[in-house]
Amino acid sequence: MAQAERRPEPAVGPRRASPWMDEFWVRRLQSLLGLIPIGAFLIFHLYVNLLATQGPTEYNTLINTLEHMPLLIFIEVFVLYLPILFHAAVGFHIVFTPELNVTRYPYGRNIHFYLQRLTGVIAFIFLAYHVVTLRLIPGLNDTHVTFALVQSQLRQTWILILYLVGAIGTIYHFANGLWSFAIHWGIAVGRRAQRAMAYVSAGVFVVLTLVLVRIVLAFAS
Amino acid sequence: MAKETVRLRVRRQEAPGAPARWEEFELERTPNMNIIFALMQIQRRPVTADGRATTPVFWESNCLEEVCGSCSMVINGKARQACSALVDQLEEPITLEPMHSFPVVRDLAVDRSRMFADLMRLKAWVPIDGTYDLGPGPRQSAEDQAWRYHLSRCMTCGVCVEVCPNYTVDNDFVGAFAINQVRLFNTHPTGALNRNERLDALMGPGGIQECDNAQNCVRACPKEIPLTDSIAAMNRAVNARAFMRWLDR
Repeated sequence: MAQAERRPEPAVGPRRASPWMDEFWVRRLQSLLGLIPIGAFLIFHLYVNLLATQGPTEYNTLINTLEHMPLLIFIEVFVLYLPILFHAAVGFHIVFTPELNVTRYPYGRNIHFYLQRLTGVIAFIFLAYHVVTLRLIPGLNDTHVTFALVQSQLRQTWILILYLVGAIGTIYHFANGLWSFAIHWGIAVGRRAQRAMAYVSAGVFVVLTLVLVRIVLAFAS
Repeated sequence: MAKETVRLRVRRQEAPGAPARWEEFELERTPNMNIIFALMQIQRRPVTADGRATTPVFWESNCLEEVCGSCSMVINGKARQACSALVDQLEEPITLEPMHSFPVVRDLAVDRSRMFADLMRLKAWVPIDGTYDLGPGPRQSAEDQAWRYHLSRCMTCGVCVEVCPNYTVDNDFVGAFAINQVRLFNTHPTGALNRNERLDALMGPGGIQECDNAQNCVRACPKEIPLTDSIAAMNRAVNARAFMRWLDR
């Protein structure tokens, strides 16, 4: 009857998101990249910047060392830029597919679902700004990133606000993404395990946010 | 104390794709009345609150005890069954809308045939038909029967996918109920023989990868099925299957 007309049989053969990978692998790879390498780098990056609390000299010495690491551009492109661009490209597709219904169903996980999309967009904009101002421009001008450079930026109120909103958004996106990762990969299956994972991701969010605030204070003081 | 009448706002739509409009009704209040009974009153006397004659409101219902799944609709903004929605427990005017995730047939009735097509796509059954008697299946422990019973209570009502932000009229996501059905049949001793066929379909187009864990489904399910546990369990099964299939090729 009518049902056959409205809902035709799914097309034969997998519909492919790209010529070389099915949708399933695209989504799983996107999820994995969020943790490794992107999330792992986020933790490393925050930890390294904590050195700002030890003073300008120590900070500048380390940045100088990192700038002279071998294969740096290779690492940057393959470990950071390409994974982030892939994660973001699939992410933008994910952001614009759903019909958000958080006002109709204001349940905890649904609010996180909404915030995950919102902070994904915030993180992308913030990272673009962050990479252009502290990597691309100094790189093209062949100048070094120093404590004083970061400090001069963070002393401008609007940049400080951008950094706080952008970086806290990014940290949220990572921490909540950990919870989602545990489910996408079938690690936390039962209700109790999923709730435990939610506490873990809340803990990660709090710790990384405290680290961020400490870094910002080191530059702002 | 009790008011004499009940006020209802109903979203009306003549036919698929026709423009929608709202109509208000003022009905006699009776003890313990549910939404179905209110709609039956309109059917008997199709007159709006301002006295205009109209067509009776069209809806679907069958069992009237929340086991058939046919009277799902959006009541005061939340998807649920009309039979178990008691008027006394609802804020007035009570708004009734068809579910948004399915094409409207007329008024409150929607076409849920996509759900059945997706169950077919995922082979969510135990194949036992053949040309000869296959004999009895393996025994199940009482313990397994007990937890699988919770998965088996699905009535294909559509509420889980109605509340799902990732399930929309124009995409092909299979939805929570279908993923749960795969788990139900993959954990059945005879059904497990076709386990991989179901997993392969579940990671196909519109498959489990489109779930992003908004978890509204488990909150809304009228049968209290542990849908999000089923989704996570199937994520694990599908991932293992995907890696093995790829490594063995």
